[in-house]
Amino acid sequence: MKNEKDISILDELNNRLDDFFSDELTEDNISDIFDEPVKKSSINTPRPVNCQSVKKNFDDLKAILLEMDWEINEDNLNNYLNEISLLLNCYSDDRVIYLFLKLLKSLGHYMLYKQSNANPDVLKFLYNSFGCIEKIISEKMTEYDRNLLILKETEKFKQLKSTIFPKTNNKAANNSFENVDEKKKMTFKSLPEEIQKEINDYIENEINAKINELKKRLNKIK
Amino acid sequence: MALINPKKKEVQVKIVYYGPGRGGKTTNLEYINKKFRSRIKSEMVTVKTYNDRTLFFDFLPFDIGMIKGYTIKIQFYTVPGQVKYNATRKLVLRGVDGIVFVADSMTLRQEMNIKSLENLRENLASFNKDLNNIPLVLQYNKRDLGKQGIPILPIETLESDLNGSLKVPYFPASAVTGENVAATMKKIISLTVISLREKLDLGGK
Repeated sequence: MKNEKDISILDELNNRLDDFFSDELTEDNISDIFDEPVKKSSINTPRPVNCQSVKKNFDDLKAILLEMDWEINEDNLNNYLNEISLLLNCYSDDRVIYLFLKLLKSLGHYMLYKQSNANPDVLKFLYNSFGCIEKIISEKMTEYDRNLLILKETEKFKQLKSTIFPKTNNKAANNSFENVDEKKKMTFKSLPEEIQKEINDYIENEINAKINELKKRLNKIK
Repeated sequence: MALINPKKKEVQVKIVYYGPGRGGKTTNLEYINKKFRSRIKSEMVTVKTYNDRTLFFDFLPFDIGMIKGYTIKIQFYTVPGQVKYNATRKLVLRGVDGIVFVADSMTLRQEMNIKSLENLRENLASFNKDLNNIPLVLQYNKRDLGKQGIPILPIETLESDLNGSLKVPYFPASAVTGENVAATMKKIISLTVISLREKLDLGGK
């Protein structure tokens, strides 16, 4: 039976693993979200908001963003993600705002994972996107203007995405040992020292055993 | 045993994917490496023969972040499944903290699964470790083959063959499509880290 300590660690561990293995921030998913609104015709007209607490949620989110401007920590990032989740439910029928919120959520997950190592441009982008949502809500924008706003942000996002996720060469996983090039040799060297030593010892023992066996055979022939 | 660096507040956990040859151990790691590439900072190292079989092992290291003030570094290994490479399997198993046993769901592989699990039990015993007392997750791989008309074993049969006495968590999975690959990995990380809690003095806060 699990005790309280186990449950506490388990909760923290599960949250960490959920973040790590979540589908929120894979390069492909972000592309999926932001490739869609590029087609102007696919953007629907604004629809009514689904919940009454939306103003409070926005105020809370703004307060959290101001807090994050001062300091980013796990607590305010978690609060930020909670508010975004609530707002996503409210705006599930308004495609433009929904997409902005999905973007904010993805960037929130990225920041939660990277924390102090997060790209500083992400935070600027996050404030800017929030400003866009405020503009859409406060001003009576035409559908064309709404579309234009998200198209512009999409372009900016793509540039930011290429900075966050530089194209990497994943071929290492697919190449055979026979074709090892200099880069692969480097990755092989990156194995823990202990393991490298074990491999070397193992190979050395195997070779020595073979040599001894051959010597014995040779002696018998003589 | 996990390498713990109290000064750096760092824990290195070794998890091994074990199972019969051609069962999909490498494919599991390749899927994770590809799917979560942006979060895994290091390269996967794989040593294969000319016909795409694992000769020595695969190695995929990554950090999952901090738990109770400790940075948890996970190192995933696979073993070569071919029977003749038992010395290598033993070598890779040395110092293991958690194991995923990848069973092949194909009907033809029923005996191979049982033999491989027995081989795991024996190899662990040579390090004075007991299969019943080590974090273990079973994965019944290649479930997707059933849809292609290839005979596969029912989960009940796999359970009675492999998990009858162990009673450990199991996942029907397909490493090719990614079904339950991350779930298997999450489960074994979770079980392994929890098993290390006393050594780490976790939960003291």
